[in-house]
Amino acid sequence: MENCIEAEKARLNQNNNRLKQHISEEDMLRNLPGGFHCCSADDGYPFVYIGNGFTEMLGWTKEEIEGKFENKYLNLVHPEDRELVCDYVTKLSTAKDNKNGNHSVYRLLGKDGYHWIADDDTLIEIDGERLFQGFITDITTYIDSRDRYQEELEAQLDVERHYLNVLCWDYTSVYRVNLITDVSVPLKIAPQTFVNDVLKFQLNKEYNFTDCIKNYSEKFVVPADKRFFQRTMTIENLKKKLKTQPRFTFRYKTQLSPGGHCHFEGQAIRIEGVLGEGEILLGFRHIDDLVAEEQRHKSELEEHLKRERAQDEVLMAIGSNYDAIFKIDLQNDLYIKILCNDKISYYYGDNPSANEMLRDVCKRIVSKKHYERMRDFCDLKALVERLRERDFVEAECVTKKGVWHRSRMIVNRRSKDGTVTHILYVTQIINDEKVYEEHLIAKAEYADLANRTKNSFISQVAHDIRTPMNSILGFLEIAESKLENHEYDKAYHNLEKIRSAGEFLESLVNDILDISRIEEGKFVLQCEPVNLTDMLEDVKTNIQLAANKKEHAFGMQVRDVSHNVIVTDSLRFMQIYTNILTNAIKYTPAGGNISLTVYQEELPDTGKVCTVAEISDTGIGMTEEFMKNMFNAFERATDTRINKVSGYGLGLTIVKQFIDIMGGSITAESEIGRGTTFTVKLETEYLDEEALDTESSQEVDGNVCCGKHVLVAEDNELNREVITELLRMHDITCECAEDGKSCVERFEAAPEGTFDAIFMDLQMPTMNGIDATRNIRGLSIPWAKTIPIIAMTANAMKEDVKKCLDVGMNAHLSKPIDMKQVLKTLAQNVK
Amino acid sequence: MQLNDFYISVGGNYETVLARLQSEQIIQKFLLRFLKDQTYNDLKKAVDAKDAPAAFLATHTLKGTAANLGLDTLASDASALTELLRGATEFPDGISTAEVDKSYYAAIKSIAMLEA
Repeated sequence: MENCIEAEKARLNQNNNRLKQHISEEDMLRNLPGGFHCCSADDGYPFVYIGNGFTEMLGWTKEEIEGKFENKYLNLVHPEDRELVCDYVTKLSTAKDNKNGNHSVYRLLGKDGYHWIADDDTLIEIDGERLFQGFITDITTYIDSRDRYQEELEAQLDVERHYLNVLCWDYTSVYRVNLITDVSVPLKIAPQTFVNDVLKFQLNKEYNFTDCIKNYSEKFVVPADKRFFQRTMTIENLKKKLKTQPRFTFRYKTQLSPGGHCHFEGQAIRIEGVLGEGEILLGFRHIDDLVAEEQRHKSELEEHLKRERAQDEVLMAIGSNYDAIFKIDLQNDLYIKILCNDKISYYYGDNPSANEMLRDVCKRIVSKKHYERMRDFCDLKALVERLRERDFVEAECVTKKGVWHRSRMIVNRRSKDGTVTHILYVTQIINDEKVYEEHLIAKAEYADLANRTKNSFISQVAHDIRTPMNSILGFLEIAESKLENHEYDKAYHNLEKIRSAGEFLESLVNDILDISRIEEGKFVLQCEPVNLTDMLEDVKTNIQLAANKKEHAFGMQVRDVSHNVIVTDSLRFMQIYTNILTNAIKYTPAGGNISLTVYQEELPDTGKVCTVAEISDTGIGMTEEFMKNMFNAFERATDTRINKVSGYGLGLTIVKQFIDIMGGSITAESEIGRGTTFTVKLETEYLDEEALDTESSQEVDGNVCCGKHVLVAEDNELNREVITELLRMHDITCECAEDGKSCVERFEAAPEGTFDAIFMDLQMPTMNGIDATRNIRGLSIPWAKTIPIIAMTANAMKEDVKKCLDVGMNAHLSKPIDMKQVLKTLAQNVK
Repeated sequence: MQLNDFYISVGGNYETVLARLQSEQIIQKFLLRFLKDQTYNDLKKAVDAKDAPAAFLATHTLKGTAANLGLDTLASDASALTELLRGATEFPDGISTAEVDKSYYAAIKSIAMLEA
């Protein structure tokens, strides 16, 4: 045993020596750079030789290596790298051509920590013992910098990946598709998507693209979009589209997924050239938010458009009132033509300055009369101030051609401090308006004039009344004193004066009433056949008396009267003559000559005759000025001479009015101080003399009324009794109703033919005569339409009579009751 | 008192009244009847009550009856009052029946004398 050990010892020593010898042969190696080492391939790779470079590199002494590391190479190796080193050594020993060129990188523990080393070893066999030897090179610095670079690269990749992720954020899935091989590879699949749950794609695995599309579209795309989606996603289509453009997007809708999304956008991007031929990227994202936003935007836009359109309509509607609308920017002196009628477009030239444009228009268009005003109005510089407190200013002007314009400057925009910055300048042609306005002004002026003349007329009339009124009161006083003194003759004389003043007043009032009736259009002629000669005789009688009083010589001459019976309003006819004659007497100093000449002129084939009257006096005559206005109702020329004559009256005015109504004419010739001649021509119808005779012979036959039975509607008992009694005297019986209502009732209740007529008071309580008549005429019983109804009223006014006839009354009787008239009217109306 | 004198005293014209009514007896009869006519009382009541339409109606009737009987002064005073009240819904201020009162009392006084 001992021998064995000794033998082994000897062998080991021998080996060592041999090794030492071998190494010393390469003593030069000791000082070679790098860390030379030689180790046995035995367990743990005990060092056979350690170069200075080796120890220097790691900082260990040989002793420390021998002690601390049991002189074993492997113990210096980083535990993680030990396997690698073992593999390396094994590899060295098994490789056929392993003498050179094999190296390994691993960590060795140095005193200052692990060093990265590159080990380049060779396996050698010495005496059957396997050794490996070689150099280690410290590459810690390199490795560190490589790691740093790696880290930097990693970091950069991270950033890029992050960018990519952000870029892909929107996309629920991204696929790489090869259009040539029809292969798709999912690059990104958002977790927990419905699609993913169903289709179960896996990242970076290859799938058949066409199948995927078919599968997906069948399962998810809404029927309406299915064909579109499939067509878009065919390989051919994608190829075609991406040939001309690097990318395109399309939208489609899916069945509502559990995630609640239904609007999707697909994007295909050509990446050929980067990744290889036929490669594209396909990304899908849901765009519900986007669509909702778009739709909101769209509806907002539509709303806005609608509003704009409405505003446009309003503007156009309003604008149609205007002939021109300009928007003017006051601050920049610019304007935009918004609307301009062809008629006036030439007014507004093409001057870019708003101010100058307006000034130019004023100068060229506006009439001289309004030029200054319009120039001021159009001064835009002053406008800002003028519009500070108001929203528009306007002006009207007439153009040189006489066209009326109205222009307005309307505030369009103000700055924050309220200064006007933009205005609308609008203008319209207002000729029609202006004509109407002028018409109104003329009317108002006329009314004003009429009013003023009426006022002056009233004051004159008041004056005319006061004069006789004063004399009445004066003479009354005298008369009273005369009576007290029992001077009856003198008192009587005063009474005469009072009477004449009173009569004058009466005639004045009558004249005024006539005039106002004519003015109101209420005057109606009452024409009947009359005897001209008789009328003239009446006139003569009346005038003769007055003429005598003033010691005038009055002569009447009637000649060539071929038609003595004419149809006219005799009262008015006579009044015309009388008024002129009265004036002649009045305005001719005592002892003058007054003459009336009447003759007729034939008007063949008309059934008419013209009766001409020439009335001459030798009076004071009339001035031309006076003659101009002598017929004017409310405007009398002043003539100092006339004021001396009491009771100027309204004679001529009335004469003129009557003649106008009767369709005649009046002319006058006058010479101051010599006299006046009036010529009155009146055309009237005429009748044969006999006609009037038969007419006038129609005397009222009171007996016709005998035995008649009438209904009297009268509210006052006394009046009822009076009429009853009076009728009874003439063998007429009657029944009475105390108001209109009971009159209607009595009539309605009575058998047909009970009454021959109804006398109807107008003013009654409960129901007046007018309403009662209307009711009776409205009854359905037949005789209600035919029974004569005769009005009885104190109001003898023409308009009242008309009202009576209008509601269906047959005749009118004025109160107080005149039995002759009652009988006559009754006789005329009953059968 | 004779009717002729009566009419002079009340401001009327016997001739025209006779022409209208055609009978002295009737004139006489109804003048007396006028004494009992209530219209004037109606007028006074309406005026007291400030009832314009009623006052108008009464005055109007009074005017009619007076005119019928030829009581011209009363008729014309009543007529004047009628015009003041015509169409009025509110009783106008300052309306006085004094004139009508005066002529009414003058008339009935004369009628009373006629009776005597």
